[in-house]
Amino acid sequence: MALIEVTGLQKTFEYTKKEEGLKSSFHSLFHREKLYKEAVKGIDFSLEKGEMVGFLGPNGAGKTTTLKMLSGILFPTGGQATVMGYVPWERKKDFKMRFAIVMGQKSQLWWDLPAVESFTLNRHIYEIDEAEYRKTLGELTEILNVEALMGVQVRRLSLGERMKMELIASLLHKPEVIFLDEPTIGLDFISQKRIREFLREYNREKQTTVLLTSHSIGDIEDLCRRTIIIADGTIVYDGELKKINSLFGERKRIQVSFETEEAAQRDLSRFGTVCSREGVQVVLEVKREDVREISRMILETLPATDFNISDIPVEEGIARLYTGRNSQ
Amino acid sequence: MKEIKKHLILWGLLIHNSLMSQLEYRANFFTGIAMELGYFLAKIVYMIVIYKTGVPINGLTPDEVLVFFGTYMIATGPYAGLYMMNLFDVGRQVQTGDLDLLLVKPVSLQFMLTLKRSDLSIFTVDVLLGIAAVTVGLVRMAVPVGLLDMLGYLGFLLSGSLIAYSMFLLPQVLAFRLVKTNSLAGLVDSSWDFNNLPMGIYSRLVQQIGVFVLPIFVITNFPALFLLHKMEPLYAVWGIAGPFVWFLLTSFLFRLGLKHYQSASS
Repeated sequence: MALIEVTGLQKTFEYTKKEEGLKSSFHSLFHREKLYKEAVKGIDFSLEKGEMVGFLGPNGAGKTTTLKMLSGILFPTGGQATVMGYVPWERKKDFKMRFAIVMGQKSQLWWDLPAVESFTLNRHIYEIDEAEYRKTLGELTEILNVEALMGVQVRRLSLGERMKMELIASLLHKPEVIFLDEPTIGLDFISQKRIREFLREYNREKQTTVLLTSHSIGDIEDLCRRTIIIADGTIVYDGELKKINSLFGERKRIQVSFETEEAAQRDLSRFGTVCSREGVQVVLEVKREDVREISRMILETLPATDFNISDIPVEEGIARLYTGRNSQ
Repeated sequence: MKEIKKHLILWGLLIHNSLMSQLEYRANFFTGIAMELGYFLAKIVYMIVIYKTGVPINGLTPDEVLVFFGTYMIATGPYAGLYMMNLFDVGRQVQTGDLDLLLVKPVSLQFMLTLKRSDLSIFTVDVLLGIAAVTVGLVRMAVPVGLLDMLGYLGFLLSGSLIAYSMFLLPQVLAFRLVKTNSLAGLVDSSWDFNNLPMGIYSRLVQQIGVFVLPIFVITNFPALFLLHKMEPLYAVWGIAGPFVWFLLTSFLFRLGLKHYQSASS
């Protein structure tokens, strides 16, 4: 049986319509038109123990809402889900003892105190034995290289350092399932890299099941073999990230540089679809099976000075899925 | 029992963390104490007027009124120092979705939400000044206070605090549905000051409402009535049962309200 099982999960939010201006604000004091937003529209997926899965989607696609339902923060409107055999929104204590959620935009640390005070609080919240706590804390602070920051107030830490402390606070009780909601948001490149390295290592060593949302394709590419993409409340892709472009047919990109701009302005449609034209450079999209023949034709008939063949970038495939252009 | 012990340890840690957070900002810490002393001085003006005129209020001598006033100050300690600031913050936490990370912790959400922050300086100042006022009143009356009187007084203070906690939490439960409830919280908070004088000054109808419907008088009047041996038997029963009724009712409504929690977009 899968560790996380989601079947037909739905969430609809109720909200009220608000027209522009003060007059409508007065009007809404007495009359409000109710509207409904289907944030999650009956999604299905499952995760096995030890899997680390990326959960991608544009803003408002339903990623965080799904994570909040799986961690018991929100009640669903319909459907079923179990995490380690528990129904999350029943909010049983045993369930809460076995999972963690880290939200990149929310903090569980006491702002004015060193993070270690929040760790002590979590030790008691999660009923962790003193010796075990010391051992785990020692390991985590060493791996994340924050031993020297244990006496520094949270408000004085950089964003990257704070995120490391958030991770420690969430991992002290050795959760079997971790939900990570944009853990690298706002971090610089180096901090992102370090957090990713830590998560990869932690998952490998502890066999923790991780569901990770991020807007950074780098996070997902680096950490997750499997990616679930959600757009407008519906799952539009579930598989390996690098295979995403196979959805759009087997196509390749040919980038050609010409001697002059005039040469680059010629009609090249007989070779393939022109994706972009910039100065002396043109990018064409062609069918994979035609690459060899078209390359030969270009080199023989056109004054090309440079030539490069590549896959369609993953980001573009994802963007197509986000905007619902997967039929192209 | 294990859960109660766990929550008591956690409460100790939360108070410890709150105090450390307060001490980070020295000027604010001392200003807070000064403000609380100012609040006491403003309230003691009533007492000065009562002593100057020397007229009994509804049969109560100025010394007896001082015992009521001191009890009011003692009860204000836990109200203002331990939980009211948290109750005022419930709406904000619901509105911003800050509640999310408390909801996933394996502890009582009501406990964490309502007792997370405290202000030990307010608590200490109010309780000490209150004890001083009660002591002066009792000494001046030369009333002998036995162990039973002390235990009963403490018991009614505790039950009064429990009823105050439950009663003032109740409007905050609406935050799960209405999101913003600070006006309502302010309205309810203003009723606290009904307590700073004996309930005998109000009409019988107001007294009955204030004891059995919105039991605001149970909070500070009951301990003083007990200490001065002026408590009616029915009040004593209600003083013991009422807090449990209110606490269970509020906790039930809290859990019910929580089902409406919508979080906030992140």
